[in-house]
Amino acid sequence: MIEINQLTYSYDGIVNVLEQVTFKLEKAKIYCLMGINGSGKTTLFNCLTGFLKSNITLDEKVINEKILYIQDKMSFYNNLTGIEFIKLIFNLKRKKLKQEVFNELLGKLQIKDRVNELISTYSLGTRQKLVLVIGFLMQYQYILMDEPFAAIDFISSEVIMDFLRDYRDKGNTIVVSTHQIDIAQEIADEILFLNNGKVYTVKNDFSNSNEIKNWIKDKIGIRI
Amino acid sequence: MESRIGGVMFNWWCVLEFNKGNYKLNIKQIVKFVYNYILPVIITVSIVSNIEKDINFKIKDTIINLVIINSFYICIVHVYIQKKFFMKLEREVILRFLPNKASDYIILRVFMIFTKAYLPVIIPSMLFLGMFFANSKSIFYICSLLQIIFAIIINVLIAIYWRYFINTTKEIYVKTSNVIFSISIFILFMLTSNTPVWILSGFESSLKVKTTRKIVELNAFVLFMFILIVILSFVIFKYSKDYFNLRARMLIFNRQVTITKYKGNALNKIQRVYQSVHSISLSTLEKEIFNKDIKEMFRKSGYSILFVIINHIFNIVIIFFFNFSEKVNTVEGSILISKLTTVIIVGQFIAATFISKAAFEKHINIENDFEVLGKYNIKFTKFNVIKAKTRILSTIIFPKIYFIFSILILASLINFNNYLALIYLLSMIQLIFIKKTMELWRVKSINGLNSEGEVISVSNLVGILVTIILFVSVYRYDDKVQYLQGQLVLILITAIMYMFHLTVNNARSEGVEDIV
Repeated sequence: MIEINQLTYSYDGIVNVLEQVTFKLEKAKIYCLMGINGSGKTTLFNCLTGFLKSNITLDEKVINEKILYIQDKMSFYNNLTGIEFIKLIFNLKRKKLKQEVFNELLGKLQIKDRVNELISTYSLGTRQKLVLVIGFLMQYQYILMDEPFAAIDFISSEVIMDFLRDYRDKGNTIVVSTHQIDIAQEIADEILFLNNGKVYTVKNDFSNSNEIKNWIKDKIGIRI
Repeated sequence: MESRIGGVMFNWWCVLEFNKGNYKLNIKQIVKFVYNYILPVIITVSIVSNIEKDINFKIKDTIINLVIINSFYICIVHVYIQKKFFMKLEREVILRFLPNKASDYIILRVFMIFTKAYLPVIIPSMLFLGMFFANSKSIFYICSLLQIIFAIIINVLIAIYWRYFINTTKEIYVKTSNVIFSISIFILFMLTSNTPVWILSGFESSLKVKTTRKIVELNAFVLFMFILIVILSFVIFKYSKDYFNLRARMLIFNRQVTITKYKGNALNKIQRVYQSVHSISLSTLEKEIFNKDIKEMFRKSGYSILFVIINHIFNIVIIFFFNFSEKVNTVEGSILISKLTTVIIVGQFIAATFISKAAFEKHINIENDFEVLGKYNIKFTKFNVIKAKTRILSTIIFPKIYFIFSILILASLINFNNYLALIYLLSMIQLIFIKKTMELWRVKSINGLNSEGEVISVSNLVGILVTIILFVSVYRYDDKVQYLQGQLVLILITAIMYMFHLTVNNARSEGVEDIV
């Protein structure tokens, strides 16, 4: 479990984008991080993964070995094939690629026939899947995903959501930031709503996306 | 109104060229301006001014060679403009908001690139030719000036029309024209490599044939013709400007013409050899980055690599031809042949810096490596990446110094010419320092890792000037001992320059020294 206590961050030293944010990430759960544009979702991820220096102390070992942060625009070597890219990352991290699990994953994510093609030919969804393959094979316990469903089609979204559920069931934790309330309602175990630097947490017992909207209206006071 | 827009455009160019959004010139910008625009012209002009006095060149050979060299060089500039300048236009958001100014902006920037890149070649070429027009030098220089303006304007238009052609015509035509262009550039390159032969034949005729240089007369009719050509070029320019005012948007977007297909081919074998041979002494991380870069280069820039490989082979053959065609046993002969070898390799260094910028910049850029490695939490230092990138330059682009000199030294020793072997050894050490310095400078300059401090910039400029002056001075010596001592001094100065770039000329760390 990861516990965040009173995380505060400011870009300019005047306005706090995050103000004494406190929450915990429990094992085997999917969290959906929501919030309006500019509410600080990406900033929160960056603080948790050490890309931004905040007031909390991070465990270097945890950041390097247990957390995978998939940003909205991941960088790739476009002139390598998918398989070459995965192997390169494994070599750089000095880890061994388990071929059987790898093949199974490719099948699950429906990219088996694409991994021998150059990454430059991949769509956004295929790129997301490629990163997920790496995340799973590296056995990260926590995966933070920034806007993974923002620009991909509903079929790819379904495949990725199924994959994430499987991954959660194996005892791992996933935090997905999204603007799409219906996706949050469908996939999340808990919803984290970020507003004015504070995090509001609620268990996802909502039966439809309208209930989430109502909760946001009533609890946080944002009109939708 | 027109001139006001021109002024705004020029200011805009200044901001882009000298960065930082500061309109007022400060010392750093003046140094940069001198570096980019003045220094190359002064150096080439001073070299040419020294050569032309002593050697008896033939006018026909000279004109042919200068036309070939200029054509080859201008082709390289065109490739640079198409690959670098036009490719970046799509990302310039400001052009989206000022589409009616896009053609002015594009013309101005292309014009400034040509001015910057072409002047150091075309001005010395004209000065060089001037020696044949001793009786009508003033007319010749006026014509030359007009010719320079004409050449730049026409090349600006060619660059823009070419981009327009790439973006609008059928893919098959673009591919065909690319193949034709590649073949032409290669032929020009091979012909350019004939330059040492042309220089040597000039030397030979100066030494053996005591005839005076043939003088050509120019008259007012020639001047009139030149003026006519320039007026015509301005008319074409004006027409083209109006034409592109309507079509500027077609110049901005990047059309994907090259379909990247990954297939196994002969280059794969060479790629594997490069990877295994040249990755020795690199750490695991550096080796992985190096191997990845080599792989990407062979896939993305296969033709450029093939071109560079043939270039290396050609230059090695030329060097060996000069060295082994006649047995050199005299001290004078040894000095001359070592000078020639060094000059050819220094020429290759200069070509390599251009090629690395024009054809391989994206592989030298470390931005993507920083992003990828950072996002997967891979530990690395800036030093690791720079080392891998300099090795890329050393492997693919820069000449094979160890190979060339080890054969030359060995051959000299077999011939019992110990003096020549010693000179080669010293030359090799100098050239290794120069090569390492240029590689380091190139990688750092592409990635903005050189210091921007004024004192360091000025020190670097002074260092370069001192090195050039020392080189020219030492390479004028004919005395055995003097030449040897000079070589030692050159080793010292080149080593100092290398250390300067390795340790002093570095941008201040901005938190990327160690990324975790």
